[in-house]
Amino acid sequence: MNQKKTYLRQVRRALKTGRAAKNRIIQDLAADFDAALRDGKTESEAAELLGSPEELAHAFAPSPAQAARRKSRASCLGALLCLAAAVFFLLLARLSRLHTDGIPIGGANQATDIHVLGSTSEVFADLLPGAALLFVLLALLLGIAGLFFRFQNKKEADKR
Amino acid sequence: MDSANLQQLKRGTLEMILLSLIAEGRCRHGYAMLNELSQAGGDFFRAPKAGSIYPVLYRMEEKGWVRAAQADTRQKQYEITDTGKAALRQMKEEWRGYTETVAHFLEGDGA
Repeated sequence: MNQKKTYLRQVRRALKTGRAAKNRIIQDLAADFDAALRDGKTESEAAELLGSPEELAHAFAPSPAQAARRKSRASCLGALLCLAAAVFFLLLARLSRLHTDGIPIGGANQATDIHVLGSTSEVFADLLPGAALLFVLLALLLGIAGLFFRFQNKKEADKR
Repeated sequence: MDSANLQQLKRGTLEMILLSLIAEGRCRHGYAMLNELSQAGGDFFRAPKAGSIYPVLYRMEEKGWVRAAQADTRQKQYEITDTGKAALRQMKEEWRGYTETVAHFLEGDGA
């Protein structure tokens, strides 16, 4: 049974499909492998009959249109996440300002030896709009990439 | 190694052959189809691999031409649907018409 496990592991590693498709393929290959063994074939013969991991990876490789569609979807999702992160940082910046505005200066009730050049939260709050801007730019780039892959997908679909 | 023409022809006809095997009840699962093709497929379908038939089976399942049920042995048993029967009827008609037309042109080519 070791050879079956090794074979299926190699096929899983070689496949370039999504997880659900991989599971489906591996399940079918495992069932066929068992059928071949029941039919009197050796493990090597069963693996040979089903095909090498490289052959299977090639056979199940996503078409250019599928690959473009997947990239387009991933780019759009990335753009949305970046926009969400930008909004989050902007809100955080606003909240930090509100918070620091309320801190009384010299409110310590004991002697301190701290030289305050600017509170950490203030420095942090200053960085937040920059981070938000960075995420907006990233979202823009991903959005453009998403549109490019969408266009590529349409071109592939028109070819067929 | 098959010629590019033959490879293209095989790709185009495999769907029809597998659908026909399922419709006739001769093969219900992937392993049986591999065996049937290697035994009865002559030189054209010599030593078929899982990578040849499963993409076709999955595509036919997505089109609703076949449905798969899990058997006790974990092997999927394929059966043809009404849509699949109609598609097969149409494919057979087109294939007959196509081969007759091609044969007509090839008869007098002097090769």
